[in-house]
This record gives sequence, C-alpha cells and structure tokens, in this order.
Amino acid sequence: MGRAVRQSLAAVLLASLLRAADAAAQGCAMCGTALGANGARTRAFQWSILFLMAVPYVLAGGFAGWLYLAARRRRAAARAAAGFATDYKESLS
Amino acid sequence: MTTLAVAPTRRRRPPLVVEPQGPVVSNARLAAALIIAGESMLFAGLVGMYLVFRLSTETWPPPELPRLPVLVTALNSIVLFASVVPMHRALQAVRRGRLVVATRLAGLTGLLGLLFLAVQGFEWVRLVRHGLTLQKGQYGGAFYVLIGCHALHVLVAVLWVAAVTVLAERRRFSAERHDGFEMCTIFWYFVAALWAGLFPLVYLY
Repeated sequence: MGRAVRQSLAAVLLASLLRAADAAAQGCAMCGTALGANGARTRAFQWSILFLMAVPYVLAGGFAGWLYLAARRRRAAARAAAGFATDYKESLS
Repeated sequence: MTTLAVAPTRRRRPPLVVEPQGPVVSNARLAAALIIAGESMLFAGLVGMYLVFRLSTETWPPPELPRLPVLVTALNSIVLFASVVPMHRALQAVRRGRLVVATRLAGLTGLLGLLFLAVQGFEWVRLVRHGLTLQKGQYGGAFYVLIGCHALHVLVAVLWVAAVTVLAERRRFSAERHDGFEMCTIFWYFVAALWAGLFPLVYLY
C-alpha cells in the first residue's frame, strides 16, 4: 500500500473519529439523565457497562498471553531439538 | 634445557542460536481464536442485557412465573462438562494417528451433546406448559434468548462433531494433518466453558 493511500486513510479515520465524538458524549449524557441518580436500574446499567467494557480487554489479554506462551513453547521445542542434534553428533565423533 | 608442554586447547564451539521456523500459531488455530472472540462478544452483549434486567428488578423471577429446574439442569451440566473429556482424548488420539479410537470418542462426545440438548428441550417444553414463554416480560425473553442462543451453539457443535467423526472414519485426518479436528475440539471447549458461566448466572443467581 502506498504512502499517500495510507496517509489518506489515516486522515479519513481521524476525521470520522473527531466527527463522532460529539454524538457519543451526547449519548452518555442522555443515558445518565434518563436513568436518574441512584436507582436500581442505574446500578444495573452501570454493572452491565462495566462488564461489557471488561470483556474486550479480557479477550485481548487472553489472546496476547496465548500468543506469548505459544512462541515460548515453540522456541523451547526448537532449542531442545537442536540440543538433541548436537548431542547426537558429539556422540558419533 | 627444559621444554614446556602446552596442553592442546579445545576449540570452543560458538553459541548455538536457534531460530524456530514458521508461524507461532497455525492459520486454523488463529481462525478458531477469531471465531471464539466474535462469539464471546455476542454472548457478552446478551449477558449485559440479562444483567440489566436482573439487577434492576427486586424480585427475580417474578412471583407468578415458574421457577427454573435447577437440579435437572445441574445434572445436565455435568453431562456437558463430562463430554469435554472424550473430545479431548479424541484429539490426542488423532494426534497419535489412532483414528479408530478418535472416531469412537468423538461419537461419544456427540451423543453426550445430544443428550444435553434433549434434556434442555424437554425442560423447555415443561416450562412453556407452566406458562413461561418468550412473551412473558423481561424474564421469559431474557431466559429464552440467552439459553436458547447457547443451545443453538451446542447444536452447531454437535453437527460439527458429527462431521469430523465421519471424516475421521474415512481417514481424512492423520497425525500430521488434523486442523479441522482441532478447530472442532476448540469450539467444543468453548461451548462447555460458556455454560460454566451461564448456568450459575441464569439458574443460581
């Protein structure tokens, strides 16, 4: 992908994010106003929002941890195989 | 005149640098992880919906609606969790190239999954007869959508297990080539792990 195309895509993405900021803030304010101060429904929404916020982080963390462990296991297996090959050559000489 | 004997020095070998070849995870495993991540977000949305209904209501379930069958579903949960064992052993058998054993174990897994679905369906029919339907407010709607979505996933997993069982019987897998079987096993783990979260949330909380 060319540099100009990448820069154009980044500019479009940034512009769309800036454009969406107002609407998102308005949504949060409306939710807070409509639900009231400290009712059961407000607390229910708060717990639900916290849960939904946590899930992507848990998934991303789990995915990163899985990749890290897979890479470590693969490197250990490669080293063990190389060590075995070296020992085998030495035993022959 | 004295001569000094010099011991022959052994030439030291340079340290061995081992760089493993190929990708860290296979494409099949990566695809399975992406599918599970997407499905997890779907269920996260449904659980979020359930939490809003559950926490904003004082009496749950509503007094006029029937209670959920906790004991039968707990026993049924044991069936689903137990089905993970033959599926795991089937994957181990495929990795060793023992396809006959893998076929039997995968078939057993599929049967346990079918038993789970049959008991769930039977209990649903009883609940509907006692008046708990999808239209019975937030309780009925949340229960059937959340648990029904999981049952649909178990059904898909059972069909997938049936497909890989047939393929294993036809010797389409081997010790070196078994990505499809592995993906199916990962999906089976996922539906069982999902139930470990859903059962306490919906039936016990």
